[in-house]
Amino acid sequence: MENNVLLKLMAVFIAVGFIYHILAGLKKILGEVFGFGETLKSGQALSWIVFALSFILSLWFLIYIW
Amino acid sequence: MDCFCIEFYSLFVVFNLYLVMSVKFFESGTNEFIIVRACAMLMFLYIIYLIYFIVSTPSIDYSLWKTFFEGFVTRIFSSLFLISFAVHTWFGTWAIGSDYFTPARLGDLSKIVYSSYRIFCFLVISVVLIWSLLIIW
Repeated sequence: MENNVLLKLMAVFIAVGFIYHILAGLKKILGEVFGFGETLKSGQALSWIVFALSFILSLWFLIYIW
Repeated sequence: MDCFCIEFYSLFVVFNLYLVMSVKFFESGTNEFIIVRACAMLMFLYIIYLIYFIVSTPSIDYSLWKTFFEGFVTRIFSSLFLISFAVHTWFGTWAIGSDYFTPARLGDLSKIVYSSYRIFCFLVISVVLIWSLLIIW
C-alpha cells in the first residue's frame, strides 16, 4: 500500500465518494427532520458547506494516505 | 473448508429469506423511505462511535484495535452497521437503477440490463454482508 500509487489513488477516489455521500446524506436528514435548507437560499448555503467540508476532508485524507 | 462453506451457505439462505421478507414488508414507499433514513442514522452513529474510540485513545496498536473489535458491544454494533449497510445499499442501488436503466434510455435492453444489475448488486451485497459477519463472529 505504501508504494502503490494506483492503490492509493483508488482509496482516495472511494473515500471522496463516501465522504461526499455521508455529508450530503446528513444535509438531507437535517432538511427532512429539522427543516434546515428548505428555502432556496439556505439550501444553496448548505450545499456549499457540504462541498467545502467534502473538499477539506478529502484533502486531509489524501495528505494522510500519501 | 467444508465447515466454512456450510456456514456461508446457511448464512446466504438466511440473508435471502431476510431480503425477501424485507421486500414484502417494505412495499410501501413511505416505509422504504423511513428504513433507508433509519439505516443511515445508525451507520452515522457507528462512525461517531469509531471516531470517539480513535480520538479518545492516545496510541492505537494492533492488540488494542483487536481487543476493541472483539468486545461484545462493538460486535453487536458492527453487525447492526453491516445489516444497515446492506439494506441501505440495496434500496440505494434500486433508486439508481430505476432512474437510469429505463426503457426511455435503453429501449428493449432495459429489462435485461436492469435485472442483471440487480442480481449483481444482490450478489455483492450478500457476499460483503455474510463475509463480514463471519469475520466479526
